[in-house]
Amino acid sequence: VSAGRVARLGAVALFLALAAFSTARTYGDTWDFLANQRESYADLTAAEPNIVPEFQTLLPVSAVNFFSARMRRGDRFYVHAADGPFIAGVDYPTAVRTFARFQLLPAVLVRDASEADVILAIGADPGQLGLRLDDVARSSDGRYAFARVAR
Amino acid sequence: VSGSLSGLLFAQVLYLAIGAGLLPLLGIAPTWDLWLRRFGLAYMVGVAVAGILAAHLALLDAPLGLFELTVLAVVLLVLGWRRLRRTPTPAPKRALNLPRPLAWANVALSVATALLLGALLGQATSAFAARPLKEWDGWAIWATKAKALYEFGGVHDPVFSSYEPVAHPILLPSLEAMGFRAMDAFDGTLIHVQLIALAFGFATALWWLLADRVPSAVLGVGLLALLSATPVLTQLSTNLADVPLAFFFALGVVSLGRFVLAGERWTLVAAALFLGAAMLTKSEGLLFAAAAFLAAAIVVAAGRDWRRLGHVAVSATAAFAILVPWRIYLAANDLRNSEYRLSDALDPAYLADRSERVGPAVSRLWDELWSAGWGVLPLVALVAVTAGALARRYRLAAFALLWPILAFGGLVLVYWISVVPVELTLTWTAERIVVSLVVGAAALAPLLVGEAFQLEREARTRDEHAG
Repeated sequence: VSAGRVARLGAVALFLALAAFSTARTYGDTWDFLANQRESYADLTAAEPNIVPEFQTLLPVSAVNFFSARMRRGDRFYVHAADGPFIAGVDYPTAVRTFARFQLLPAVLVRDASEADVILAIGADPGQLGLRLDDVARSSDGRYAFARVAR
Repeated sequence: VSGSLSGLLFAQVLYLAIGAGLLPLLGIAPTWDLWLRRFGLAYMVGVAVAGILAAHLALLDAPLGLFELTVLAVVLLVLGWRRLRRTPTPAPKRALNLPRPLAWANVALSVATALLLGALLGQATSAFAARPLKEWDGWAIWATKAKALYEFGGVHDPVFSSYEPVAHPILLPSLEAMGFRAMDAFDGTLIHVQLIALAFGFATALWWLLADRVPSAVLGVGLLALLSATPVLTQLSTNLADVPLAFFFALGVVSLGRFVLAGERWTLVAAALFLGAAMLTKSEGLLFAAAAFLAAAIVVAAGRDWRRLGHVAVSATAAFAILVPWRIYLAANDLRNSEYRLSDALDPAYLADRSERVGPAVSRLWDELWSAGWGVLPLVALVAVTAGALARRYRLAAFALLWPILAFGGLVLVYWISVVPVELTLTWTAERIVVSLVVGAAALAPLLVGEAFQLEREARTRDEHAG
């Protein structure tokens, strides 16, 4: 048997051995991750499939419902939020706006209050924006306020 | 509101039917014999084509739903069936002809790996079906775009022209918007089932793409190592586009590898389709596809095979054409990537000013390639390249070595010219951006090893006849 053939056979065997070794190193971790995900979220998402764990605190389901009930499809909304930190590289107003634009579709987030049809205020007073507003509705805990911009 | 799982599953059946009809129409399987042997590609072909079509139609505010998909599937099946009837020529089949003990070992290993893989993907299905949108980019970028496409039926201006990152292409959101329409609701949990269907589709397509050249044991062991690597299923579950990109890219690069090896033209059609889908899945898909086509072109040109070089050029042109409507939309709306401008890569002064970014980028990407979650997959791929070279498949081995080097260099260049602080952008992206490199290299590995195995079998057969 030539050296070339031995080398080829060796490479095939080494491939099989390394691939099996690689699987042995990772299969269990992947399996555990998947099992953990199912255990952690099955009950939660059975009740509320559109919940976003860890970020839902930015805009709790009750707040989403409060705002959604008052908005129309295609409404352009501006989020007025109190300043503050959130995570590295993202401040609180940016985080809450990002979350609101996802949660509140098909209403559409705008970056400039002057372009908005409605103002959503979170821990802040919508009157601070200096816009002419129709009646301001407030949530029962007073943290959220909704106002339509007068036209 | 919960979505309908049956609707989502029906959409997957339609993708399969669309792909089954397209196999003969695209020339991937022009005869009944080949259609049966390449049927495993049908689902991913259907997903790629439906995704590309939906992404393009979204630019015209024309949504694709179950009705349109059903009509498309029926039309393509009829046309494909008619095409099959007209081209009855059987294709030659390359038999592996294993001796009995080796054949038994081959079957045993294949069954064992198939069972392990089936168990893992089954476990993943139950986990994905219960997992909500969780990671920031998963909901803030990809699900936001998918939800907007679902709600508005197209690229509604305020969303797609002002929500960063505006330059991310929309194949995955378009697929998910079709999923929501099939479910008749936006369901941020159940849509993950479509993601795991992609994993099943990828595994099936890769298997059927290589089964006629690679012993099933080699293929099974390689595929199991690839899909059990922790980043594949963990990152797929996040609803980010990196793993779907890697799946399309890997199928494209394996198709291209087969062309470099054997010059089969149908593999170039598959390469164009899958690499085109990769480009429309994420911005870096363009870089990866360019690296793959350039590597194939260099290898073919080095062999002075000008005819094949022409074929590679045609395939590359077709793949890049898939991206054109999206690029026109970006240009028409003056939407740009805010993190880098490719023209800066041609400015020596700009590059010199930022040269301190190269070291950290190379170091971090290299570390990510060898991170524990991948097992030893990069080493597996390197051994496969060696096996290919030992089998004297020099073009294929060179291709398998060259495209990752070009892609790695391209990634470093992007980090080099980016305006985002290098440590920050590496923290955000390095772990994800290497997925296509590892998955592509690992997917190509069985083809290289299969060649070494086959050459050895042929030598042994010659010995037996001589004896």
